Amino acid sequence: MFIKIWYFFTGYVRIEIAGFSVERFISQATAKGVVFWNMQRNGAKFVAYITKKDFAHSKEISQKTGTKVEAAAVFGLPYILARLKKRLFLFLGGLAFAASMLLLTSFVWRIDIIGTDRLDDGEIITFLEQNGLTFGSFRRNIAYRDIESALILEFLDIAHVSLNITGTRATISIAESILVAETLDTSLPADIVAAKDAVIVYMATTAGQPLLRPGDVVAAGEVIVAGELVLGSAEEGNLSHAHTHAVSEVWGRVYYAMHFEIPLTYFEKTFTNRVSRGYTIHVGNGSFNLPRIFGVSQDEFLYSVTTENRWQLGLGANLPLPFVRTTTTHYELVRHLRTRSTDAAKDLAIELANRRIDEELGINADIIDKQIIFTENERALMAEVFLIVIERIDLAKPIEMGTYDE
Amino acid sequence: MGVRATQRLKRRLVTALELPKDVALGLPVTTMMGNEEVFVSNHKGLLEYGAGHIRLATAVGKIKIFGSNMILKEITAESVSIKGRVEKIIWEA
Repeated sequence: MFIKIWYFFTGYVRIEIAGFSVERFISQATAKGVVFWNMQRNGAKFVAYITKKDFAHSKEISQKTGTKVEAAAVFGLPYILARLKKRLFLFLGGLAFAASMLLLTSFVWRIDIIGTDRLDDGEIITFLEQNGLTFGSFRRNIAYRDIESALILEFLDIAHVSLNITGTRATISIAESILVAETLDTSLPADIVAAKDAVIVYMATTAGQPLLRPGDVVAAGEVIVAGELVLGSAEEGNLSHAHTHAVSEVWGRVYYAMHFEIPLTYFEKTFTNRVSRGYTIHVGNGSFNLPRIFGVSQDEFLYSVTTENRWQLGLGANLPLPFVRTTTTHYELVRHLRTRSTDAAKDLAIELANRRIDEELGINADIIDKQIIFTENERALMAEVFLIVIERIDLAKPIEMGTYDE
Repeated sequence: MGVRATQRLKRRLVTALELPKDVALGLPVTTMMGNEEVFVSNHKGLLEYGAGHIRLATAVGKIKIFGSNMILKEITAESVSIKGRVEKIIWEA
């Protein structure tokens, strides 16, 4: 394999050898260091391959041995270059192309950010721009490690970042830090308050002074179990206060009311087959729209949906070049006014209600009663949803020590 | 001391010292890859390349390789690699 590449660079010749003492010629030539390969007898002639350099030697030997050696075909880079020399402008064009490719591949023409979920890519791009990495940055001037460090310092949500530049493509791989649930320090005094308006149905207190009991009505934010303990009595003159972190599991009956309004008329959108496409060419930081030659204009559409597709010219995935084509496609829509039956509106209201309940209630919430009351006018169907749910309502709230007398 | 006597002595010495004979005496080494390829090193030249056979000179005589569709995959001053359907190899003294 490698020897073939070598032969390509040095050039090689397919020769035809004829005469009475071909074997003698071969023996003498090999003795002088000439290498033949893929030699084949073809009738009275021999066909073989030798390097360009050996071909010159073989001519001398052939004269001594009385054989005739002719070049049937030539291969390899030296011969290609020799042919190109005759076509100067093609040669110069090739050189100019190679030089422009070399120049273009010295810059970053694409920045990809991967691994972001909470962080905004736009903010990161702006920050990178301020730190010397942007579309068209010279690759050698990019301070990889400095940019990585700056990103970590600037964005606290970044746990790890790596910047890799392969070809003309910069890839920022980000690992976001894991969000830790806010927990209350159990060594600090705290009350247990109600998270929602409810009727308490169950309480199990392991620390603190319960102020309410099952069956009591509690408002959101009201203290259920106090973290302040009253010790002794005023009558005996040994009244004192101590504070603890109250711990209690409190379940309450919570009432929910939801309102949904479902219009009895709506617009149904259907696509026509008419599509309008526009092309924009971006070269570096500039761009221009290609004039429309065929097809319909988007202005003819009353309603449409638009998609945008971006294609960047490049030599493979890692060598994008600063030529981008954006295709904006508008798909024409027509709107038809439709009416919805009362039953269909009810089904939709129930579906929306169930979706809202799933979103708002935790997985431990137990729905013990659900009622839906429908009312209708000429425009819409109204659905009032009432729920009775048993769920946990305890919430630890730190005690501000300054408000208590020690 | 004649040439043959020198050769004999050299051979004895090489045998006694257990030196590789292909290196010390220039004996040919013939390697076959199934019946598809023959590799001969330490040859002394190509004597004949016929339609169904190839004859090579070596330090200990001539080697004649019979077969069909035989091509000289590579021939250098030291070795010959022959590719084709090899049927028979004969040593001629």
